[in-house]
Amino acid sequence: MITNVSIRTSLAGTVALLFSATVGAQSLPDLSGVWQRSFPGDSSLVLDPPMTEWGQERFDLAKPMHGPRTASATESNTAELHCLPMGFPATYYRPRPFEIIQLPDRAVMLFEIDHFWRVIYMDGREFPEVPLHTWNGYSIGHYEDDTLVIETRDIIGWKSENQQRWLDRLGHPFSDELRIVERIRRVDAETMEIEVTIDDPVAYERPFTGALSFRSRDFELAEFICQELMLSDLPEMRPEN
Amino acid sequence: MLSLGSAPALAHHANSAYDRSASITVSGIVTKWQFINPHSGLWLNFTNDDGKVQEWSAEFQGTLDLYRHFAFNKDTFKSGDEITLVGHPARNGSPNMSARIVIFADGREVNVRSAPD
Repeated sequence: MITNVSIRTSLAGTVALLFSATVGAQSLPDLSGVWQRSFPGDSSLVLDPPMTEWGQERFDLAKPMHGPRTASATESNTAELHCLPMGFPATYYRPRPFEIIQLPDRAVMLFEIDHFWRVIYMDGREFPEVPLHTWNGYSIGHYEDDTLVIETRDIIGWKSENQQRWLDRLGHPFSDELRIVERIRRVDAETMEIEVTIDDPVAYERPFTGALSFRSRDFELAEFICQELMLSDLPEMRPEN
Repeated sequence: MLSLGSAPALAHHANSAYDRSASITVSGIVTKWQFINPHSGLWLNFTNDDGKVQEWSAEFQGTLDLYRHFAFNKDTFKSGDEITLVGHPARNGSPNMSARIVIFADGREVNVRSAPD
């Protein structure tokens, strides 16, 4: 059972907070709640990811709808236009909020976009011996002091010009070999940071790390179905900003 | 009413379908409201000085930004409503705009881009 003893007040600059929850006898950092990105959707983890030749070739084929190479909805080959799952960390670049729920043996992320969930198994298990590659991969995690550490593997990588798989919305590709480590911690009452390390020897010459920040929101998640895009009568329908 | 003017440029989508350095005002009668994601759409019949009717479409944010911040829903606009929209015109000259301000028949104004997001 989780006892949430977080106390938050924010009266005229007075912020009193105590972030902790207990699962059994173990004290856990409190990451629960609704979060929304507070970084620009047209950014990347690092300015110039160190792409391999494989990565550069595919980056050159990407026609994103954000950033300096912005293409129109009719020209773009972003997976967003097909409402395909973007995987991680790309999903975080969308403006839609998500909720973190901490349970004794797992953490769960609920995403408003397309009503999907992500389970981070925290019962000590290893990755499956026979990998099943999926759009969002397989995640296991553990706590290190105030930080939730998640490793994700077995993510469907870049397949073709028609099946682009990117780390962000700018077209930086990834392969089936991608391994992601996320270190999630609450910076203060209103702020959460996810430090993301990308390790993909097919697409990048060396691992690299960047940080994404999120702010706490006081509303509940609702429903945002991307495929409604197919129903729109507007002349040029595009993914949301 | 249909008027064109200039507005401060917003550096967002460099290649956006809309010219964010320009402003356009269109008044007309609502013919359709699509309250959907990722962007909602509103259609208006605009009648020019010669009595000729032209249909305009206007792009809005998705449902949840409009609902959370402005309490918009599927019934916010109904066919036959008189509405004035201020927004950014399509770059290709088509009768399509990105809506920024809605002025309802009772004079109420909502800047739909003023959400804290």
